[in-house]
Amino acid sequence: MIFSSLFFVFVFLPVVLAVYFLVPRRFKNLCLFLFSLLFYAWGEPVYVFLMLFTTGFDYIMGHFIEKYRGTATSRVFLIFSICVNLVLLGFFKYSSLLVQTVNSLSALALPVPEVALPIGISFYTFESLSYNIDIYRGEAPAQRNIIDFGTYIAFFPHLVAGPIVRYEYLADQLRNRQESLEKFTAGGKRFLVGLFKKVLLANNLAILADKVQYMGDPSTLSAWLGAIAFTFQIYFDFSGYSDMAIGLAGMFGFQIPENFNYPYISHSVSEFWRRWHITLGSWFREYVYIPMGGNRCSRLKNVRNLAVVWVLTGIWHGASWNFAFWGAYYGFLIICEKLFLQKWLDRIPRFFQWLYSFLAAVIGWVFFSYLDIRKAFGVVRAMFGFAPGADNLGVYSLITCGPLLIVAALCSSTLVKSLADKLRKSGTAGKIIWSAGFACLLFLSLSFLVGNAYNPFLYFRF
Amino acid sequence: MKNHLLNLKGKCNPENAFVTSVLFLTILGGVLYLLFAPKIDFSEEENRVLESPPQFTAASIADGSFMKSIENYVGDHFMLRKNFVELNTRVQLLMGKRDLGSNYGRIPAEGGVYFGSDGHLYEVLLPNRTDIFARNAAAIQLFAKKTGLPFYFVPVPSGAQMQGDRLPYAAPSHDQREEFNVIKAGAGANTTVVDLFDTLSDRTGNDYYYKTDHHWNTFGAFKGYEALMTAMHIQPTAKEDFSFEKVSDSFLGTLYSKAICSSQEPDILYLPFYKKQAVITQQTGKSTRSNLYWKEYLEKKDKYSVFLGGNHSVDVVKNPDASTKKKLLLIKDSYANSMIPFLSTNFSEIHIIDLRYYNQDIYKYIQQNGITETAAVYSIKQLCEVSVANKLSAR
Repeated sequence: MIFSSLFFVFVFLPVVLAVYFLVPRRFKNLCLFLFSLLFYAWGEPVYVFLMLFTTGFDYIMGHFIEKYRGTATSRVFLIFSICVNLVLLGFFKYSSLLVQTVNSLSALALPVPEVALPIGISFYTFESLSYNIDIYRGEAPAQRNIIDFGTYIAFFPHLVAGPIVRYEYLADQLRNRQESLEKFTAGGKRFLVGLFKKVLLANNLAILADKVQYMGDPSTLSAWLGAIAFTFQIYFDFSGYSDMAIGLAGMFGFQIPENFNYPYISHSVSEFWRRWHITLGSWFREYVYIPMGGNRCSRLKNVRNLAVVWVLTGIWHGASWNFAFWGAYYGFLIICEKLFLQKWLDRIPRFFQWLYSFLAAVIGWVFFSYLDIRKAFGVVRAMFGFAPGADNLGVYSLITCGPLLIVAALCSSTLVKSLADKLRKSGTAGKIIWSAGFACLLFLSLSFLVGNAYNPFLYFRF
Repeated sequence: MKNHLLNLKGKCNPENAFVTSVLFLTILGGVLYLLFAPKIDFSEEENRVLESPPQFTAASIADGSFMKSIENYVGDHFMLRKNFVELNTRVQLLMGKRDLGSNYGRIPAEGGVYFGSDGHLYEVLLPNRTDIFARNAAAIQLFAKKTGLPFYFVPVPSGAQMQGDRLPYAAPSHDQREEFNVIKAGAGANTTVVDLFDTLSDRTGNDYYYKTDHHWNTFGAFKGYEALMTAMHIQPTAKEDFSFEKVSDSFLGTLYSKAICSSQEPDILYLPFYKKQAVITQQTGKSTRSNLYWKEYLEKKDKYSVFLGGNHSVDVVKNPDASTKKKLLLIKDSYANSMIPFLSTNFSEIHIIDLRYYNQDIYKYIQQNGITETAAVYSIKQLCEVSVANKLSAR
């Protein structure tokens, strides 16, 4: 089930909210847990059992890790739990890639396992890992109540596309949270912002990005338009999803962390990754980069640590080598920035710092969006002039999608947000205009959903 | 149990409260509408059956069809559905879009519809990314070889191909000559490929395509008929021997269904009536009609189905007074339907087979019915999108 669907907004959401606010306090988490399972089961019913297994297993492991905390036994349980979680993730997500790669590198013809990827497995596996590690480190107590723990793992707002919430962050809220009208209405507004981003911007940008990819062998103009369209598409899709998640969580009184902070206004690639998918970045920093020694070690080791973290970050996004390449690409840029590039950047005008960061992102997305790395290189070559300058597709797309791209560019900067905030604070007339505009965007979004417009789901690979 | 709604108190920002109220009032309206409003089963506008209430069974849940069904149900029976769809079209056009309804995630991809000049809608033609066309073309040619009968292949180009000047500025459009050339190159000795590209692009007289439907119109079908007859060395019945009667001026076809917009000008639908005496019958399954026009369809949305009543697995059209005693077997898509009234003046029997719905051995059929000629009338786009290859593999 996806948030940006009529079924979710008009059936699932009102039912969950009604039940949630009608049941007594002690059943509220149970209500969320059960509805989350239903939400999860919607697309692929059998995988609910996988999630229940993960939940039960990590609950028990957490108990033992805490019981023996400070001893070697605790460490054994932690390692066992990490292994089981990673094996499950590996089997369901990476086994077919692994077999295919082995087959192509050797003369073997092993049967390629055909496992459907359980949606959100990368997200909830990382969350259950954070649970056991946080307990091991003594940063949070083990959860006594399995329903509360299940609510943490399965909580439907952040289940399929993040944010990745660390256990330590949510532990207290599972027991002590207060729903309020303030949180509820702020959540409703936030949900709508996410819905607009997804339905009005991302889905329409997707048409252009997908069209350029479908047509193949783009001209320079088409290659740029396609790459820029995807650049904005994935931002509005992903951050829209996070907005909806944060908004929904808020309706139930939860506060979950921010995931995006205007990444395309960054002035370096390192800054971009502090603004893009923030919770994933901090997960890797907290549980991989720092334990490996982070930057408090020799320069060589620091470079190694960065390289490992970024290749892992890449491959986390999907079981295909182009994602690893994409991660390595960012690793390379970030290592360069650490070593010398940042010093150079500091000396050039701000505009060029921004241009470098933005172009790095656009080119990165080409490697992300084309599963075939050779095709991606072809597109990048076309972008830099090794192709006819323009073709019909490029000219037509520029004319018919130009306005959309401009709106997308404005919305991905802080400009629209600060104008809207100014309007809200400028007195009654401003508030009325803002509210009316918001209501119009809601009806517009509904028209796109009812019109059965293109509504792709990007995270099925994650 | 204390009312936990009371927990929802405290100060809140009035604009947030307003927009959240609008959201939940809309949800309330939507829920009430879904629960209590009278439902319609068929969308005339979009020309499709709407989702019926989902069946809640263990099997439908296990295979996920229940979930799909209820999602579709909510979409299909949504309040103000028509208005929302229309609003969507308007906004897209306002934003500068000149095509609608594409889906590149599907296989084969759906290109959607172009808004051309003069109120014309056109299919967006995409290059092939599947082997459907190659397999269809090969299978049809193998069919010709296997039967050994004279075979005439009429690949019909789309409106977008023939009237490219009316497409939006710089609109990319795949050149269907590519497919035509493949067909031409693969033709065996007993096969004649009829080239309609020059014929149908002519616009000195009547327009040959509907504005709102993907088919050729009656005049386009007549041109196709003339070309086929010439290829067969049969004298085509003259245009003057038909009276073209306007039977509807409110035809909104399949392209309109993908790009609903109330300001769209509808098409005029003409039916050709043979002026000379002839008793032409159409046999479909067990029923026989004394007429090729199913006029009940003129009252419905899908007016093109007035020709032969749409597509059936087998139709047999007989005319004892036809100009020849030949028996034609025609494999076809719906483009052929509007050509049949013309063809019926020349063949004593036309056996019309739509392979999409036909599951028998076609070679046996040919033997049993004493077929003397065979032909295929297919729109090139259909050949690229719908596989008929496996239906010809029998024997």
